[in-house]
Amino acid sequence: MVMKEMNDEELQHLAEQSGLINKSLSLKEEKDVVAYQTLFKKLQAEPAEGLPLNFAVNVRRAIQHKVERKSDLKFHIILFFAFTTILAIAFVLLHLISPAASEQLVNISPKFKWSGGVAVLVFWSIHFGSQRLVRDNRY
Amino acid sequence: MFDEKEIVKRILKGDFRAFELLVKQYEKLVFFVIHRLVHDQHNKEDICQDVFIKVYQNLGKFQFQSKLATWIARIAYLTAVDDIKKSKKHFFSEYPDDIDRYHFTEENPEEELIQKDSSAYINHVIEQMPIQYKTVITLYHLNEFSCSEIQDITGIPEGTVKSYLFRARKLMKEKMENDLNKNGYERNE
Repeated sequence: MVMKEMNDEELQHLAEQSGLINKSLSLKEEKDVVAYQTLFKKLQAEPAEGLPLNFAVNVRRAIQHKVERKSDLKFHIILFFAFTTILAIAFVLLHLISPAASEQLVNISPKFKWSGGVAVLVFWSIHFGSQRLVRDNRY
Repeated sequence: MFDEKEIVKRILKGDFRAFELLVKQYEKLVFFVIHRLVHDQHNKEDICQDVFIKVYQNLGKFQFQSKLATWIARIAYLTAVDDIKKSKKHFFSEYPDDIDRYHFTEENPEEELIQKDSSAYINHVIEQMPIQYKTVITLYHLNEFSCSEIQDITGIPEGTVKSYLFRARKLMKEKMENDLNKNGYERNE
Protein backbone atom coordinates (compact mmCIF):
# COMPACT_ATOMS: atom_id res chain seq x y z
CA MET A 1 0.00 0.00 0.00
CA VAL A 2 1.36 3.47 -0.94
CA MET A 3 1.37 5.88 1.96
CA LYS A 4 -0.15 9.31 1.37
CA GLU A 5 2.50 12.03 1.40
CA MET A 6 2.18 14.64 4.16
CA ASN A 7 1.24 18.15 3.16
CA ASP A 8 3.07 21.29 4.29
CA GLU A 9 0.61 21.98 7.09
CA GLU A 10 1.21 18.56 8.60
CA LEU A 11 4.96 18.92 8.12
CA GLN A 12 4.96 22.27 9.93
CA HIS A 13 2.88 20.81 12.74
CA LEU A 14 5.28 17.89 13.04
CA ALA A 15 8.30 20.19 13.01
CA GLU A 16 6.84 22.15 15.92
CA GLN A 17 6.73 19.07 18.16
CA SER A 18 9.92 18.95 20.19
CA GLY A 19 12.01 15.80 20.23
CA LEU A 20 12.38 13.19 17.54
CA ILE A 21 9.40 12.26 15.42
CA ASN A 22 7.98 8.77 15.94
CA LYS A 23 6.19 8.70 12.61
CA SER A 24 7.77 6.85 9.72
CA LEU A 25 8.62 9.46 7.13
CA SER A 26 9.88 9.35 3.59
CA LEU A 27 13.28 10.86 2.90
CA LYS A 28 11.72 13.96 1.38
CA GLU A 29 9.34 14.41 4.32
CA GLU A 30 12.18 14.01 6.78
CA LYS A 31 14.23 16.59 4.87
CA ASP A 32 11.27 18.99 4.91
CA VAL A 33 10.66 18.55 8.63
CA VAL A 34 14.35 19.20 9.37
CA ALA A 35 14.24 22.29 7.11
CA TYR A 36 11.23 23.60 9.03
CA GLN A 37 12.88 22.87 12.37
CA THR A 38 15.99 24.78 11.26
CA LEU A 39 13.83 27.67 10.13
CA PHE A 40 11.91 27.77 13.43
CA LYS A 41 15.16 27.77 15.39
CA LYS A 42 16.40 30.71 13.32
CA LEU A 43 13.13 32.56 13.75
CA GLN A 44 13.39 32.20 17.52
CA ALA A 45 16.90 33.67 17.61
CA GLU A 46 16.97 37.16 19.11
CA PRO A 47 18.24 39.98 16.86
CA ALA A 48 21.92 40.79 17.25
CA GLU A 49 21.26 44.44 18.03
CA GLY A 50 19.08 45.67 20.87
CA LEU A 51 18.21 48.62 23.05
CA PRO A 52 20.92 50.34 25.12
CA LEU A 53 21.45 49.01 28.64
CA ASN A 54 20.17 52.21 30.23
CA PHE A 55 17.00 52.29 28.12
CA ALA A 56 14.65 51.67 31.08
CA VAL A 57 16.34 54.42 33.12
CA ASN A 58 16.07 56.86 30.20
CA VAL A 59 12.37 56.10 29.69
CA ARG A 60 11.68 56.49 33.42
CA ARG A 61 13.49 59.86 33.45
CA ALA A 62 11.64 61.10 30.35
CA ILE A 63 8.26 60.19 31.82
CA GLN A 64 9.10 61.54 35.28
CA HIS A 65 10.22 64.80 33.69
CA LYS A 66 7.02 65.00 31.62
CA VAL A 67 4.75 64.28 34.59
CA GLU A 68 6.53 66.76 36.85
CA ARG A 69 6.43 69.47 34.18
CA LYS A 70 2.71 68.93 33.76
CA SER A 71 2.07 69.10 37.49
CA ASP A 72 4.31 72.21 37.79
CA LEU A 73 2.30 73.92 35.06
CA LYS A 74 -0.94 73.04 36.82
CA PHE A 75 0.46 74.36 40.10
CA HIS A 76 1.53 77.67 38.52
CA ILE A 77 -1.82 78.19 36.81
CA ILE A 78 -3.63 77.57 40.12
CA LEU A 79 -1.17 79.89 41.90
CA PHE A 80 -1.73 82.63 39.34
CA PHE A 81 -5.52 82.43 39.65
CA ALA A 82 -5.34 82.28 43.47
CA PHE A 83 -3.09 85.34 43.54
CA THR A 84 -5.36 87.29 41.17
CA THR A 85 -8.47 86.28 43.12
CA ILE A 86 -6.92 87.37 46.44
CA LEU A 87 -5.95 90.73 44.94
CA ALA A 88 -9.48 91.21 43.56
CA ILE A 89 -11.11 90.26 46.90
CA ALA A 90 -8.72 92.60 48.77
CA PHE A 91 -9.59 95.43 46.42
CA VAL A 92 -13.35 94.83 46.76
CA LEU A 93 -13.02 94.74 50.57
CA LEU A 94 -10.99 97.96 50.53
CA HIS A 95 -13.64 99.55 48.33
CA LEU A 96 -16.39 98.49 50.75
CA ILE A 97 -14.51 99.72 53.84
CA SER A 98 -13.11 102.92 52.35
CA PRO A 99 -14.14 103.92 48.83
CA ALA A 100 -11.77 106.91 48.93
CA ALA A 101 -8.76 104.69 49.68
CA SER A 102 -9.61 102.33 46.86
CA GLU A 103 -9.94 105.29 44.48
CA GLN A 104 -6.57 106.57 45.65
CA LEU A 105 -5.06 103.12 45.00
CA VAL A 106 -6.43 103.09 41.46
CA ASN A 107 -4.94 106.52 40.86
CA ILE A 108 -1.43 105.75 42.14
CA SER A 109 -1.09 102.18 40.77
CA PRO A 110 -0.12 103.25 37.18
CA LYS A 111 2.94 105.01 38.66
CA PHE A 112 4.25 101.67 40.01
CA LYS A 113 3.32 99.51 37.05
CA TRP A 114 6.97 98.97 35.95
CA SER A 115 8.40 98.29 39.39
CA GLY A 116 5.44 95.99 40.14
CA GLY A 117 5.94 94.11 36.88
CA VAL A 118 9.69 93.74 37.49
CA ALA A 119 9.05 92.45 41.04
CA VAL A 120 6.65 89.77 39.75
CA LEU A 121 9.13 88.81 36.99
CA VAL A 122 12.05 88.52 39.44
CA PHE A 123 9.93 86.41 41.80
CA TRP A 124 8.93 83.96 39.06
CA SER A 125 12.47 83.78 37.65
CA ILE A 126 13.91 82.86 41.05
CA HIS A 127 11.12 80.37 41.57
CA PHE A 128 11.65 78.67 38.18
CA GLY A 129 15.43 78.70 38.57
CA SER A 130 15.33 77.05 41.97
CA GLN A 131 12.87 74.39 40.75
CA ARG A 132 15.05 73.52 37.78
CA LEU A 133 18.13 73.32 40.02
CA VAL A 134 16.38 70.90 42.38
CA ARG A 135 15.20 68.73 39.45
CA ASP A 136 18.61 68.65 37.75
CA ASN A 137 20.31 67.58 40.97
CA ARG A 138 17.70 64.85 41.51
CA TYR A 139 18.35 63.17 38.11
CA MET B 1 9.14 37.33 40.60
CA PHE B 2 7.45 39.97 38.44
CA ASP B 3 3.94 40.51 39.82
CA GLU B 4 2.20 42.58 37.14
CA LYS B 5 -0.80 43.53 39.32
CA GLU B 6 1.45 44.80 42.10
CA ILE B 7 3.67 46.71 39.65
CA VAL B 8 0.66 48.36 37.95
CA LYS B 9 -0.76 49.32 41.36
CA ARG B 10 2.55 50.94 42.34
CA ILE B 11 2.84 52.80 39.02
CA LEU B 12 -0.69 54.17 39.33
CA LYS B 13 0.26 55.47 42.78
CA GLY B 14 3.09 57.44 41.13
CA ASP B 15 6.04 55.09 41.75
CA PHE B 16 8.44 55.78 38.86
CA ARG B 17 10.88 53.04 39.96
CA ALA B 18 8.07 50.52 39.47
CA PHE B 19 7.63 51.82 35.94
CA GLU B 20 11.35 51.36 35.33
CA LEU B 21 10.92 47.70 36.37
CA LEU B 22 8.02 47.34 33.93
CA VAL B 23 10.12 48.80 31.11
CA LYS B 24 12.99 46.40 31.95
CA GLN B 25 10.55 43.47 31.90
CA TYR B 26 8.98 44.28 28.53
CA GLU B 27 11.69 46.20 26.62
CA LYS B 28 12.70 43.10 24.64
CA LEU B 29 9.11 42.35 23.65
CA VAL B 30 8.61 45.91 22.40
CA PHE B 31 11.97 46.02 20.65
CA PHE B 32 11.32 42.75 18.78
CA VAL B 33 8.04 44.07 17.38
CA ILE B 34 9.47 47.47 16.44
CA HIS B 35 12.69 46.00 15.07
CA ARG B 36 10.89 43.64 12.72
CA LEU B 37 8.11 45.97 11.56
CA VAL B 38 9.74 49.40 11.36
CA HIS B 39 12.25 50.02 8.61
CA ASP B 40 13.88 53.18 9.93
CA GLN B 41 16.97 51.79 11.63
CA HIS B 42 17.86 55.00 13.49
CA ASN B 43 14.44 55.66 14.89
CA LYS B 44 13.81 52.39 16.68
CA GLU B 45 14.87 53.50 20.16
CA ASP B 46 12.65 56.59 19.94
CA ILE B 47 9.68 54.51 18.80
CA CYS B 48 10.23 52.06 21.66
CA GLN B 49 10.27 55.03 24.05
CA ASP B 50 7.01 56.31 22.51
CA VAL B 51 5.45 52.89 23.11
CA PHE B 52 6.32 53.00 26.82
CA ILE B 53 5.07 56.58 27.12
CA LYS B 54 1.72 55.38 25.70
CA VAL B 55 1.79 52.44 28.12
CA TYR B 56 2.28 54.86 31.03
CA GLN B 57 -0.44 57.23 29.84
CA ASN B 58 -3.01 54.45 29.34
CA LEU B 59 -2.13 52.16 32.23
CA GLY B 60 -5.12 53.41 34.21
CA LYS B 61 -7.42 51.97 31.51
CA PHE B 62 -5.85 48.51 31.67
CA GLN B 63 -8.40 46.18 33.30
CA PHE B 64 -6.36 42.92 33.41
CA GLN B 65 -8.73 41.31 30.91
CA SER B 66 -5.62 40.06 29.09
CA LYS B 67 -1.99 39.55 30.05
CA LEU B 68 -0.06 42.80 30.45
CA ALA B 69 2.39 41.52 27.81
CA THR B 70 -0.44 41.14 25.27
CA TRP B 71 -1.70 44.66 25.99
CA ILE B 72 1.81 46.16 25.66
CA ALA B 73 2.42 44.19 22.45
CA ARG B 74 -0.82 45.64 21.01
CA ILE B 75 0.39 49.17 21.77
CA ALA B 76 3.76 48.35 20.17
CA TYR B 77 2.06 46.87 17.09
CA LEU B 78 -0.28 49.86 16.63
CA THR B 79 2.62 52.29 17.12
CA ALA B 80 4.67 50.44 14.50
CA VAL B 81 1.74 50.48 12.04
CA ASP B 82 1.28 54.23 12.65
CA ASP B 83 4.96 54.82 11.99
CA ILE B 84 4.83 52.83 8.77
CA LYS B 85 1.78 54.85 7.66
CA LYS B 86 3.57 58.09 8.48
CA SER B 87 6.72 57.17 6.62
CA LYS B 88 4.52 56.01 3.69
CA LYS B 89 7.27 53.57 2.84
CA HIS B 90 6.76 49.81 2.78
CA PHE B 91 3.10 50.28 3.61
CA PHE B 92 0.36 47.75 2.91
CA SER B 93 -0.49 49.21 -0.49
CA GLU B 94 3.01 48.41 -1.67
CA TYR B 95 2.19 44.72 -1.43
CA PRO B 96 -0.28 42.78 -3.53
CA ASP B 97 -3.91 42.96 -2.37
CA ASP B 98 -4.08 39.20 -2.21
CA ILE B 99 -1.11 38.43 -0.02
CA ASP B 100 -1.76 34.70 -0.36
CA ARG B 101 -0.23 35.05 -3.79
CA TYR B 102 2.85 36.83 -2.49
CA HIS B 103 6.21 35.53 -3.69
CA PHE B 104 9.75 36.70 -3.10
CA THR B 105 11.36 38.65 -5.89
CA GLU B 106 14.56 37.67 -7.65
CA GLU B 107 17.76 38.38 -5.79
CA ASN B 108 20.44 40.93 -6.45
CA PRO B 109 24.20 40.69 -5.65
CA GLU B 110 23.65 42.49 -2.32
CA GLU B 111 21.28 39.76 -1.18
CA GLU B 112 23.82 37.09 -1.98
CA LEU B 113 26.28 38.78 0.37
CA ILE B 114 23.68 38.89 3.17
CA GLN B 115 23.12 35.14 2.82
CA LYS B 116 26.57 34.52 4.25
CA ASP B 117 25.41 35.76 7.69
CA SER B 118 22.64 33.46 8.86
CA SER B 119 20.98 35.93 11.28
CA ALA B 120 21.18 38.86 8.86
CA TYR B 121 19.87 36.58 6.12
CA ILE B 122 16.75 35.60 8.11
CA ASN B 123 16.12 39.26 9.00
CA HIS B 124 16.55 40.22 5.36
CA VAL B 125 14.08 37.57 4.20
CA ILE B 126 11.52 38.65 6.85
CA GLU B 127 12.00 42.30 5.87
CA GLN B 128 10.87 41.55 2.33
CA MET B 129 7.58 39.99 3.39
CA PRO B 130 4.21 41.75 3.72
CA ILE B 131 3.63 43.33 7.13
CA GLN B 132 0.93 40.78 8.04
CA TYR B 133 3.38 37.91 7.59
CA LYS B 134 6.16 39.75 9.41
CA THR B 135 3.81 40.47 12.31
CA VAL B 136 2.59 36.91 12.85
CA ILE B 137 6.06 35.41 12.38
CA THR B 138 7.54 37.82 14.95
CA LEU B 139 4.77 37.56 17.51
CA TYR B 140 4.57 33.77 17.26
CA HIS B 141 8.22 32.74 17.05
CA LEU B 142 10.16 35.58 18.66
CA ASN B 143 7.67 36.83 21.24
CA GLU B 144 6.13 33.39 21.74
CA PHE B 145 2.49 34.49 21.69
CA SER B 146 -0.26 31.99 20.84
CA CYS B 147 -2.47 32.47 17.74
CA SER B 148 -5.36 33.59 19.95
CA GLU B 149 -3.12 36.19 21.65
CA ILE B 150 -1.97 37.38 18.22
CA GLN B 151 -5.65 37.92 17.38
CA ASP B 152 -5.99 40.11 20.51
CA ILE B 153 -2.85 42.05 19.61
CA THR B 154 -3.47 42.66 15.92
CA GLY B 155 -7.22 42.26 15.51
CA ILE B 156 -6.61 39.68 12.75
CA PRO B 157 -8.99 36.69 13.18
CA GLU B 158 -7.32 33.59 14.63
CA GLY B 159 -8.00 31.52 11.51
CA THR B 160 -6.31 34.14 9.34
CA VAL B 161 -3.37 34.33 11.77
CA LYS B 162 -2.88 30.57 11.37
CA SER B 163 -3.14 30.84 7.60
CA TYR B 164 -0.61 33.74 7.46
CA LEU B 165 1.73 31.82 9.74
CA PHE B 166 1.54 28.69 7.61
CA ARG B 167 2.04 30.58 4.35
CA ALA B 168 4.88 32.78 5.65
CA ARG B 169 6.78 29.77 6.98
CA LYS B 170 6.25 27.83 3.75
CA LEU B 171 7.52 30.78 1.69
CA MET B 172 10.56 31.23 3.92
CA LYS B 173 11.43 27.53 3.84
CA GLU B 174 11.20 27.50 0.04
CA LYS B 175 13.28 30.66 -0.22
CA MET B 176 15.95 29.23 2.10
CA GLU B 177 16.06 25.98 0.13
CA ASN B 178 16.31 27.85 -3.17
CA ASP B 179 19.10 30.06 -1.90
CA LEU B 180 20.99 27.14 -0.40
CA ASN B 181 20.70 25.12 -3.59
CA LYS B 182 21.75 28.10 -5.67
CA ASN B 183 24.81 28.82 -3.51
CA GLY B 184 25.75 25.12 -3.43
CA TYR B 185 25.44 24.98 -7.20
CA GLU B 186 27.62 28.06 -7.63
CA ARG B 187 30.25 26.74 -5.25
CA ASN B 188 30.40 23.43 -7.10
CA GLU B 189 30.82 25.10 -10.45
